[in-house]
Amino acid sequence: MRAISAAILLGVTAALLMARPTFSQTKDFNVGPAIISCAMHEAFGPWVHTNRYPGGTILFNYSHEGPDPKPGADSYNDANDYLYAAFWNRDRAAGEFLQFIWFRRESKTHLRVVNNANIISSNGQLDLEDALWGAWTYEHLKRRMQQLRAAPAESISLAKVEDAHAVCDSYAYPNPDRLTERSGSR
Amino acid sequence: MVDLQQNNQATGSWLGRLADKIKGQPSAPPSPHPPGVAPEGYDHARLDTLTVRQVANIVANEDHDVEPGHSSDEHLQQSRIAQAHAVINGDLAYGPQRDQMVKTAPKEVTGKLENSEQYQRALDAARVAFQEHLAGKDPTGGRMYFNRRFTSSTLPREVGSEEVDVHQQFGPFQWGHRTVYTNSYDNPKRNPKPRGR
Repeated sequence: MRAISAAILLGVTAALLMARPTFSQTKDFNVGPAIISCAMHEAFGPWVHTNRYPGGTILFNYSHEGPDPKPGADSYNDANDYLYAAFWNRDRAAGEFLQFIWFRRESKTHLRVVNNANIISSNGQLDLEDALWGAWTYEHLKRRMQQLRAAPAESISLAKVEDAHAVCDSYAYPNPDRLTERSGSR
Repeated sequence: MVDLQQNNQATGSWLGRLADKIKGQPSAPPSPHPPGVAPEGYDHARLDTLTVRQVANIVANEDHDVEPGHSSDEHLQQSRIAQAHAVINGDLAYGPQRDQMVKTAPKEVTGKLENSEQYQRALDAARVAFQEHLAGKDPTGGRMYFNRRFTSSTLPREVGSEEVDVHQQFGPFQWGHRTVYTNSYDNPKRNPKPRGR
């Protein structure tokens, strides 16, 4: 009986640990360099247009959201890890916004761009422009962009951006090695 | 009210259209469905991994609170049908990997949305798109992507190093206090084709 109770307790604890929703610069692994690398160099980008950031520096921050066991109306109901990355100009009034899926179970860091938008100022308010999809996705992304606007950002020197040796792909150019062959014509 | 709307769409009856007129709303165009198959009969049919009902849920989420504004209700419905086709094409291109490639809104809806009239319109759009798909018709021509713009701009959309052209624009519609347009886009060059397209 005691063994069963212990097993249940262990199971519940493990489930709680695995299920924790996250919204933070992730502490367990610094995925920032991989985000920058994928945004600027790879995945048939650049997804960030460095000519929009005079002075050779970009302000950057990101957030991570893991699977949420009790997703709200504003969250995805799936097992993916998402990264939301903002690349800001000097006064953080404009920039570019990327949404990634982070494939954490692969041996090498693998990021996939699944949405991109411009950050613009409109009537004194920050807004997102030209993201994919409709109202739900717009609201989902805009909320994350606003949270990043209020969070600290680090300054990146464009001259010092290095290849983080991550696997990068995107909805525009899916890595064929990462897609299972499907039957039927393509 | 929802039941009445469902009944109208299921039967396309004169009684339903009359009820719509009494309510002061335009009647929905009848769905082209084969005789003997009620539209709801398709709801659990699967495209690849998505059911028709899930396609409707995605469209309802992405289209929530969008109103016709100065456009006709039929024009708004055409935009929903185009969105449903795009979602279907994403499913046919990626199947089980759709959730990691074509990151639309979730395929579940809240109870509140599911019980709304706008949900019924999204469901009707998904049913029409599915029936058109079965008949080999796809007004999007295999395209998978759409978005909302707050202007009537038809400039290409930046996708990494590529620019993709607007294929079709719908609108203007009203979303809260904002004017919006729904655009569908060409697929990026290196995307797989939807199965059977």
